Amino acid sequence: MTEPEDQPRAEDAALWRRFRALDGESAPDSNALADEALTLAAYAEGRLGGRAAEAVEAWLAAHPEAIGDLAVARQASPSPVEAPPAMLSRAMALVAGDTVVVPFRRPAAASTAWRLTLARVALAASILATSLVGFAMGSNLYSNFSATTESASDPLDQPAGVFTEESGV
Amino acid sequence: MANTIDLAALSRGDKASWNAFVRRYAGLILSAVRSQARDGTDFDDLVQEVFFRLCKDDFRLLKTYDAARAGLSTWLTIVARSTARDTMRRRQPRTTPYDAVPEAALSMTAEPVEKVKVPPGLLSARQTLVLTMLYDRDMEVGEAAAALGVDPQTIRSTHHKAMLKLRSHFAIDEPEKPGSKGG
Repeated sequence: MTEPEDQPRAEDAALWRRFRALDGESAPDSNALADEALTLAAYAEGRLGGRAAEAVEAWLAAHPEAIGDLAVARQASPSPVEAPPAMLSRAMALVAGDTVVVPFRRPAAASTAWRLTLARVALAASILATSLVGFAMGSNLYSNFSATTESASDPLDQPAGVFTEESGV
Repeated sequence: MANTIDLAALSRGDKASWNAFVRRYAGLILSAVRSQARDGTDFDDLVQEVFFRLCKDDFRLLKTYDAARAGLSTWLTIVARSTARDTMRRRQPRTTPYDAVPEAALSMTAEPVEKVKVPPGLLSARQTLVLTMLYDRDMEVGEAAAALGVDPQTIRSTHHKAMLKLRSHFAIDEPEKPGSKGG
């Protein structure tokens, strides 16, 4: 319940802002308690005193977003809500036997290597085959074309009256 | 509670220990994440992120836990909320609602250069924290007391002493109020 004297005064708020604006140089090392969840937990449980508690309080003043953690942590109980089975299965799958399974699957290096080699060999073979066929076709084609041209004058191979001088076309 | 979970086996990656740990503390982590996340947030992903952070790099974070310093539930709650905060910060663009910006920051008037110096240690860490909670976080006295695990009157007393120091330093006279209490 909020008491009347708990209502913030505008003058006090202004004085606090004035102090903050000037006190920037004396701000604590913002990284001093980085990732020190254990220290915050000890403070939340009232296990710290003296300079240790002051250090935590100075850090919290510089990182006010973590202040809410204290109240929630004090009220924490082992099983306040029931997690859905799918959530449990997903989390359990992070650890498989003696190894930690990365949340996404990566292909094994060995299988990738032989497949890559096979693909390269196939590509080289197709290029070689295409080259050989092309060369063969090219050399045979010239000789075949020459033979075809010589036989074209045979009147039995040409349709009568079509595109000839006798047809007048 | 921690002694029902074999933390040593858990840190070694024992599958059975890990499954037991998940079954026992998934609800607590979910509750902690919910208290930190905004509406519409995918809690499944946040909870998974917390568990992943606990087991990644050969259980590096989990190995930092020391049962002699704090309870496992308390520690996990703080880890969960911190992880949820970091995850949401990475996902969300850095924006601040207009109403959340202090009015002084929106002021267009040029502030005179403050010539008064603040000596280091003018306010104690506790006093600075209480004022931060009351003025920067807009917390009620009861909320601040709950967060620090102290009596609300302690918060009022700390606030009053801090304001006395500030007024004295900035040479501001305290207006007389008949029958006013400290706070």
